[in-house]
Amino acid sequence: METFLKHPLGPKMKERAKLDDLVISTRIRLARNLKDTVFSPTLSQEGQRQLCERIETALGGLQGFEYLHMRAYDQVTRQALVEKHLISPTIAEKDESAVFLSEDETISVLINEEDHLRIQTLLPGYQVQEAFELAKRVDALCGESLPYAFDEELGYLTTCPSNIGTGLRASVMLHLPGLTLTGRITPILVELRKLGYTIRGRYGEGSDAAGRLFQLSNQRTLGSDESQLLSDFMEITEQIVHAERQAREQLLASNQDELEDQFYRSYGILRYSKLLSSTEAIERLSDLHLASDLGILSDWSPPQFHDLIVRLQSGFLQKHFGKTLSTKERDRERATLVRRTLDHGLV
Amino acid sequence: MLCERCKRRPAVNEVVMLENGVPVERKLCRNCTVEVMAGYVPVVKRCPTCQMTQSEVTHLRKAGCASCYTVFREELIKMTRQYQQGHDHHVGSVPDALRTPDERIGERLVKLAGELERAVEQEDYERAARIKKEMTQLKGQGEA
Repeated sequence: METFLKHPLGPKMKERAKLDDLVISTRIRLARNLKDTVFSPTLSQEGQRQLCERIETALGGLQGFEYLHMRAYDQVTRQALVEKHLISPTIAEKDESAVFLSEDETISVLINEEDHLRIQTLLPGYQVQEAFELAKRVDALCGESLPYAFDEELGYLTTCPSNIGTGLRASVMLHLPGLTLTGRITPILVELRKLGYTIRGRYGEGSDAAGRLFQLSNQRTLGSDESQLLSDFMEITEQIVHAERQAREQLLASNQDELEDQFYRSYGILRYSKLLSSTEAIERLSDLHLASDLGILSDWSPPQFHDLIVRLQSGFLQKHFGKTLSTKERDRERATLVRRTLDHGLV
Repeated sequence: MLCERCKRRPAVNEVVMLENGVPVERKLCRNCTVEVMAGYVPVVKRCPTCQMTQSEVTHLRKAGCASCYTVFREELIKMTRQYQQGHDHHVGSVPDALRTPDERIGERLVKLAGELERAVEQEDYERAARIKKEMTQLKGQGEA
């Protein structure tokens, strides 16, 4: 467990990947239930405990995985795992829930989420197909020893019909400062919702999401097969990436002075402030990340940005310092951490 | 129209009543409806596996277990259409455990055919030969 909390990014996440200047990470999730066990709304705590045990036994033979039962961990530890996207908030809230986590932190099999099993894969950059192939392999392995609830007409049965059929949800975390600064993001958000995609701020809702980080995912899980759902999702993602690049070019062409001014101000704040809230830190770091993409700032890599946005979250911060911190203490430690990083890494 | 029971007040409800063991539809006034319904215990539809009731399923908008999809099929399919942009049919993958060996072989053959085409395009004839060999073996298994 401790190894998972030592670093904000798993070994795989530190690697460079396709489009990783804009697409921070890709996630695939498959929702599965067992036909012989009642679903989460009616499953007692004892039932949840038994399900964990049963799945632990069934998947116990998996090499390179660690089984973590939430009961054994405090809230701060669970929160840090949520911040790394290794478990979901729903899992963190329950004592009788668990996760099978691969050592390279790319695969999480969540037990007792809204569905009995949520198979989740997480890769850096834009790797929808790769993440899906990985999830499919884990799905096949789980399916060997666990009887899935499946209906010929409706597909994989899920607790909520919003996940039924393939149970497949793909999502990408996008850094969209160009679209945000030019105001083009608002109509795009509206359009995406019309097309059946969910896009929300990674930190905070709406078009002014902190750090201009957005999570895009497909809503529909039924009516198309997996490869169609994924190729539709990829087409949409690539269109947004294209729009973001255009917006950046336009910004640089018409507002270079203002942009540079903003970057240096953000750099100054990160470099010299004594207190930094998590929202402000992410916003300023987003400026630095954009500056590096536009060639104004050197010595800055996408994994470094990703590392910091996880490292500066309150759960991870408290885990790093090994104690509970008040809001003010967190803001102070966060500022110190950022100053140190900039001392070592940049300029 | 007058109530078919008291024949005095205007009929406002249509009620199915048992008359000599036969269900008959009657148009009744409010008073007679109340009198007929007195002592009637409504039958709650309940899932035998998880004990969820129909109203719990529709209010939570969730299924309590796999059997709910049989017991409350109509309600859950309606919800499914609402969530899934009108779709109500799965066309995606099927769990391995539910596929026949022939189906699995068929799928593998389709996949290999695609790989073979790519190998030939890339002029990787060594790989193409390996793929061809596997395809021949699989076809043999399918016929056996």
